[in-house]
Amino acid sequence: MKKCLLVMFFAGSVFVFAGCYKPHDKRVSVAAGVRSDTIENNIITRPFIGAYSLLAGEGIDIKDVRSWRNAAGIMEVQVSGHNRAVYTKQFEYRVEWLNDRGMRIEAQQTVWLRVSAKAMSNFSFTATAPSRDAVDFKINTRKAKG
Amino acid sequence: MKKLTLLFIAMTFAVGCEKVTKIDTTNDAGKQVMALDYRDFDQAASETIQSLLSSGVLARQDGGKYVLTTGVITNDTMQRIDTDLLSAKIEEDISNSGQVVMTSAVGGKDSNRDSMVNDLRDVRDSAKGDEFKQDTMPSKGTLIAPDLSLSGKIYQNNLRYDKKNQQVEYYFQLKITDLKSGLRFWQKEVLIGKRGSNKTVAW
Repeated sequence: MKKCLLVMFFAGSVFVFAGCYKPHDKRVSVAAGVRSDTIENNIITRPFIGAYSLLAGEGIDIKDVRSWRNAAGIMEVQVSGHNRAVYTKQFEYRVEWLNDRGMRIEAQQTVWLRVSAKAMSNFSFTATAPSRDAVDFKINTRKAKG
Repeated sequence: MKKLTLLFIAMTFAVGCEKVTKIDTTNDAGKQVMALDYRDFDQAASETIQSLLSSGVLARQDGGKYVLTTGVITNDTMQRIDTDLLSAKIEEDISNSGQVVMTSAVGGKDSNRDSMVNDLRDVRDSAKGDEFKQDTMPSKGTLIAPDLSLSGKIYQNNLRYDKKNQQVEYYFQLKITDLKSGLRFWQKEVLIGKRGSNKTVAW
């Protein structure tokens, strides 16, 4: 009975103290260890949350894709997302640019480029088309190696 | 003699069985190396080209095209690198962007120039010049001088990371200069860092 009460008290205090963190402007991402504790990054709950994150295979979510034409009339794209995992996720992306006939535009700049998304944080990357002919794009991703 | 023959046959087979594979340069998932390989040049060129096209410095206000030459790109690494591995990619993409025209009349190194531009003019001015139909020869004052120059350097910095590992940093620094005014219109640095065993060599 005593043990049970102790565990309940312990768990209760974790929730009480972890609950002190207040949500803020989403444009500012405050890393674990810098901000106040939450359930996800509390020293006691973190290993369980981490294990769950790994088991659930949490990764990145794409939140927003926007494109525009710059002053030179060349198309640019910005991809924004969120890394739900409790560890830094590195991945590579490759942008293929398409002309008005849907044909791929050959370019030296069409290569795999790396992004590092911090744990439970937002990330973004931008890409610029090789010429004014580009009207659309396709983006592929893969796990980063090495 | 028999043994020697058998040994020769065995060696021939052994050499013949060595596996050689072609690199899938589009989706290469091969291990990283401490020295610079083609993937590093791809990355540096891609980031440079995108920065340059995004900056808008190549778009002329009057709708025309700038004439660009490649000046000197210095190899300040411990590796024997032909800097054309970088500049050729950049030149290709910015030419194809339709915003600039490259010139082969002047350039920072031989590979950026086409010696025939001057050779043909030497022929025109020599006795052999009369052998050619004169209206097919380039007249004086027909070459177009470049407006802009692309130059820069590749720098390598080796550091001791810990007892067993080293850190190698490669800096690709490029800039575009307006040749009339000497003003620098654009510049970009791409850093590629690698960490690995001291046993691997970075040159």
